[in-house]
Amino acid sequence: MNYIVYIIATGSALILSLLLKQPLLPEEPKRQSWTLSAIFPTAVLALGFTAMIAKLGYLTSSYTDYIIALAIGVITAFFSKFILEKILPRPAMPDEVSEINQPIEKLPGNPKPSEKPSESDKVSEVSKPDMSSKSQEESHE
Amino acid sequence: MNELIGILIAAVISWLNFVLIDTWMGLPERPGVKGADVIGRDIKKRGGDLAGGFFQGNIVCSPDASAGTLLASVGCFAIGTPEGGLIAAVLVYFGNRLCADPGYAGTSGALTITVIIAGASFIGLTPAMFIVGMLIAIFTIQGLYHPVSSKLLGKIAQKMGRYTEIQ
Repeated sequence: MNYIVYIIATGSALILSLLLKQPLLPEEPKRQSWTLSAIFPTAVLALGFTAMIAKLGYLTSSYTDYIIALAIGVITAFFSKFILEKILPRPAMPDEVSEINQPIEKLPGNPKPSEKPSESDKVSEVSKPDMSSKSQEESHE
Repeated sequence: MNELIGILIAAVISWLNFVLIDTWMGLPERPGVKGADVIGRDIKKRGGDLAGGFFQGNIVCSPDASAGTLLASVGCFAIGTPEGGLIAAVLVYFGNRLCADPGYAGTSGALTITVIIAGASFIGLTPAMFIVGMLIAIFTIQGLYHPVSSKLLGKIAQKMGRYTEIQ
């Protein structure tokens, strides 16, 4: 294992992601943050991608390895900044604990099972077939 | 090293690695997704601890440090140390994103166990021992008896200041 290759890849990814105005670390609390930062995940991705390239046999223990490592770092930084969020977007889920702990029927868009349909709902249900029949008649005409 | 002793040591190391990282990352604090909430409350109903239940629910619902530990061990066994562990860390990160999880616990667990495996190789512990050890470690948490294991996880969460405030 050539440690210098990993250091070059990680270092170049870190520096370029900082130049691309990614924060060094996510905001607190870090463990619940979706912010993409220079250390996490950019540096981790650079390490992993370098390991992939090494195991695929593209590193040949020559000076070209350093150029490949530099390229991995640059590509990883651009990937983390511009592409990662498009491939794996943030999920649209409630952040508040109270929302997570609500019963399913209380979540927005889900009517309570015990609720009887209101008069207006009944009217709308009844009127729907009429509307469709009217529109069918109109289309026939 | 004797294989059985090696597996036993690897199981203890893996158990500490994933439980401490997951607790530090706040898995007992809140359910990340609806499924973790359901599992946590079900374990509490059966006499367990709610924070420990959330921990176990979060483990089931997204790749956390236990998955990271196991996958990094498998990676080191199949590909080599440390490349396999580093590749596993990237794959766990993508898995976390797919499972709507910010992704620190799984990736951190994969990276720490990769360092541990690299260090432990000097005393004769192999990645294969860590694979078996991790299976034993996760079996003690998820496979034996949920009420007791959740209470233990809850006590660890209390000591590390990560106990849930949800009732």
